[in-house]
Amino acid sequence: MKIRELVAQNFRPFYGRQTIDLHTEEARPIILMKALNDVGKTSLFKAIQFCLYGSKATGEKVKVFQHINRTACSQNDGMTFVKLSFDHDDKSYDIIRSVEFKKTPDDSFPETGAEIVEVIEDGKPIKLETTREQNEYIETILPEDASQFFLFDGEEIQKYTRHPPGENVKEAIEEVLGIRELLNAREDLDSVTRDLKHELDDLLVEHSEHDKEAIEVEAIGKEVSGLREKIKELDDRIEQAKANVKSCDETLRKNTTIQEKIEQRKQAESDRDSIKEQMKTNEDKLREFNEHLGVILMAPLLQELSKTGRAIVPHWKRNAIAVLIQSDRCICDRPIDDSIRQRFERQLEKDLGVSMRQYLGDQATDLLLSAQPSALEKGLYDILTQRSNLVSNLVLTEQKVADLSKEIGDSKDLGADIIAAADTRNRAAADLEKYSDEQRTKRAEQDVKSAEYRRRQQKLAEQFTDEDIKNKKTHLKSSEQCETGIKEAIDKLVEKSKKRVADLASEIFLDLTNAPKLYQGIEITDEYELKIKTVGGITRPVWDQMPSAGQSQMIATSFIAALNRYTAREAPVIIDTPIGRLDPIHKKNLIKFYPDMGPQVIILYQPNELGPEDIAPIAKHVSSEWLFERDPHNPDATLIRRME
Amino acid sequence: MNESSLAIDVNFMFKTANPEIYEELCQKKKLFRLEIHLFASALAIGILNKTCSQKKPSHDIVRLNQLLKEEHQEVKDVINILSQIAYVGSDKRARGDAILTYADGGLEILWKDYQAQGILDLPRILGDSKKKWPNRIPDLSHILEENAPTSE
Repeated sequence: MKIRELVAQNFRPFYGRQTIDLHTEEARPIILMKALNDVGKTSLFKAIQFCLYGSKATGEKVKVFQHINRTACSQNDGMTFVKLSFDHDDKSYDIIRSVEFKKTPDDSFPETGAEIVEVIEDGKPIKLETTREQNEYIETILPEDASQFFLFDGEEIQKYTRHPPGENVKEAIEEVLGIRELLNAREDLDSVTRDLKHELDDLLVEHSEHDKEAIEVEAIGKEVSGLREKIKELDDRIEQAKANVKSCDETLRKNTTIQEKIEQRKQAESDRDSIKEQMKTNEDKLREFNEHLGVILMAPLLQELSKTGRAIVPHWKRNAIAVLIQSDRCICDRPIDDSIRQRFERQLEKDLGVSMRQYLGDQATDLLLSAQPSALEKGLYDILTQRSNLVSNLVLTEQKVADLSKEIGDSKDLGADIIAAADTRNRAAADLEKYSDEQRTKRAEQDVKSAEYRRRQQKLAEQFTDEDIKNKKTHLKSSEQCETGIKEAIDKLVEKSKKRVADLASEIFLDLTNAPKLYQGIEITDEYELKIKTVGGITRPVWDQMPSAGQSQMIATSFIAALNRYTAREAPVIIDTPIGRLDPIHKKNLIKFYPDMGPQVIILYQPNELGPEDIAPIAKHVSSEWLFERDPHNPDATLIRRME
Repeated sequence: MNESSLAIDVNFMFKTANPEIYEELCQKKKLFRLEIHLFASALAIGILNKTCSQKKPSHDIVRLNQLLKEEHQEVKDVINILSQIAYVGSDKRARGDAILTYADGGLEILWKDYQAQGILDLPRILGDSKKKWPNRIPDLSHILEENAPTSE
C-alpha cells in the first residue's frame, strides 16, 4: 500500500477541502509535515484512521460528530469526508468515507448521518453493501489490528515495552506475521472435523438402527465431545486464572514500587528531621560563640595592650590586696593587723605611677589567657561550615521529599494492599495449577477415548459399504490430515518468524541505541513479550529492566521496524511526534534510520523536534515537505501548504 | 575582676536607644543568649569605628550588679577594658554614658550590615575588625600613654 493523495473536507481543523499530494519516489521515501501543537498534525493522522476504519478507530471515546469542522457546521448543512488514494498490489484504490451533518445554531455538536464508505478499485466502484463487507474488504488491504504498527505516535509505542503485551497486541503481531490466517484456518478445520465426526456417527446409527455397537460408538463420540467441551471450559478458566495472576503481578509491581517510594519518603523525612535537629544544635553553638563575640572582636586590641607587659603588681594581686586591706581576717583565717595592712598598702603604692596602657595591658593579658579568642575564632568556621552543609542537605532532602510525594500522589501506606494482592495472586496461582492439572487429566482421558472412538468407529464403518459413509470417512480423514499439517506449519512458521523478527529487531536496535556496548539484542518470547539481552548474558523482560523513555522508544521502534521489514505487507509508516523527548544520540540515530523504515515514511513533527540541521542528513531522501498553519482569519481552520 | 576595681559603677544600668534591634537579634533570631553579649560586641564595634549614636538610650538592658555569675566574668572584663578606653577620666557616670553611646553606635553599624546581608555575617565582621584595629590602635595609644589608671 502506497498512498498517492489525501483529501480532507471539513474534517476537524481542515475547513473546506484540503488536498495533500503524498507521492514518494523510491529513493525519496520520506514526507515531512511540520505543525505547531494543536494545528492539525494529529488530525491528519486521525483522518487516515477515520478513512480506513471509521470513527471507532480514532479513539475509544471519540464520536463521529467530533470530527466535523466547527466553522463548517456553524454555517450550513454539509458533508465531512476523507478520501485516501493509494496503490496496492498493482491496483489503484480510492476509499472515501463521508458523513453528512446539519447546521448547528449554537456552539453545540452537530447532528450527523451514518458513515458512508465508497471504494473504487482501478476506476470501478466496488459494491459493498454492509459495514461488515466494507470492513472485510479494507482488512484485506491493511488489517486494523496490524495498522498500529504502521500508523503510530512515536511517544506511545513504548507500550510494547512497558508491560507484557495484551491479547490484542499478540493478535496484531500474529496478523502481521501471517500466523493469524493459519490459526483461523486451523480453527475452521477443527470445527469441520468435529462436524464430520458427528455426521458420520449419525449415518452409522441410521444404518444400523438397533445395532448395539453403533449406539455405543455414538455414546463414546458424545463422551469425547463432552470432554472437549470440558477442556475448552478449562481453557477459559486457565486463561482467566492467568489473567488474574498477571493482573495481580502488575498491581503488586505498581504497589511495591509506590510502597518503596513511601518507605524512601519516610527515610527522607526522618533524615530531614535529623538535619533540623542538627541545625538547632548548630544554632546553639553559634549562640555560644556569640557570647564571646565581644572578646574576639577586640582581640587585636588586647594583643596590642598585652605587649606592654604586666604591671609591677599583677592585676590579680592588686584585686586580692584591695579586698584584704578592708577585711579583718585573711582567707586563711589569719587576723589582719595594722602591720600587715601597712605592708599591703606599700604593695599597692608600688603600682602607683604605672601608665594606663600598662595597667590595661595587665587586664588584657588576663583576658587573653582566660578567653583564648584565637581558639574561639577557629571554632566559628567549623560551625559555619557545618551550617552550610546542613542547609544544603536540608534543601536536597526537602526536594527529595517533595519529588517522592509528587510520585506517590494520594497513595497511602500500601502495605495492607500488597499483602491482599499477594494473597489474591496466590489464590489465582493455585487455581491455575488446579485447572491445569484437571485439564491434563481430561486431555489424557480424551486421548484414550478418542483413540477408542476412532478405532471402533472405523471398524463399524468398514462393515458398511454405503457410499455416503465411505465419502464421509474419506472427508474426515482428509480433514484430520489437513489439521495436523496446518498445526505443524504454524509451529514452524511461529518459530521461524519470531527468530527472524528478533534478529532484525536486534540489528536495528543496536544501530539506534545510544549504548550499543551494553546490549546484545532483543528476544521475543512465545507470548510476544520483548526481552532485552545485555552484554553480561542476562536476558530479562524489557519492562522489568525499567529502561528510560528514550531507550523504550528505541526498543519499540526496532521491534515495529523489524515487523514491517519481515512482513511482505507493504504499508506506509506514518509517525506522529517522532522524536518527543529523545536525547541527541537517539534522535540522530533515529533520523538516520527513517529512510530505511519503509517504502513510504510520513513524519508529522512539531518545530522543536526537528530543526533544519536535523533534517539535513536525510534531505536527499525527502520527496516533499508540508507546513500546517492556523488560518489567520479563522482560528478553527488549518491551512496546508507545500514548502519549497 | 573585683567590683572595687571596675571602671564603672556597680549599680550601673546598661541601656540602649535601639530596643527593636535587641528584640530582633536576641529574642526573634536568637543569635545571642543574653542582651549583654550583644551589648559587649556592639561596644567593641563602636569603639573600633569611633562611632557614637546620636540617640538617647532609654531602654534598660541589665544592671551591672545583676551579672554576678562566674559565666559573666568575661563579658564584664570586656566591658571594663573597653569602658576605660571609651572615656578617659575619673567620672564613672560620664564613662557609663560614653559606653552606652558607643555601644548603640556599634549596634547601628551591625544592624545596617545585618539588613544589607540578611544575616549576621560573622566572618566578614571579624575580618573587617582585624583590618581596622591597626589604624585605630595608634589613636588609642596616644590616649592610654597619657593617662593614669582610673579604676581606683
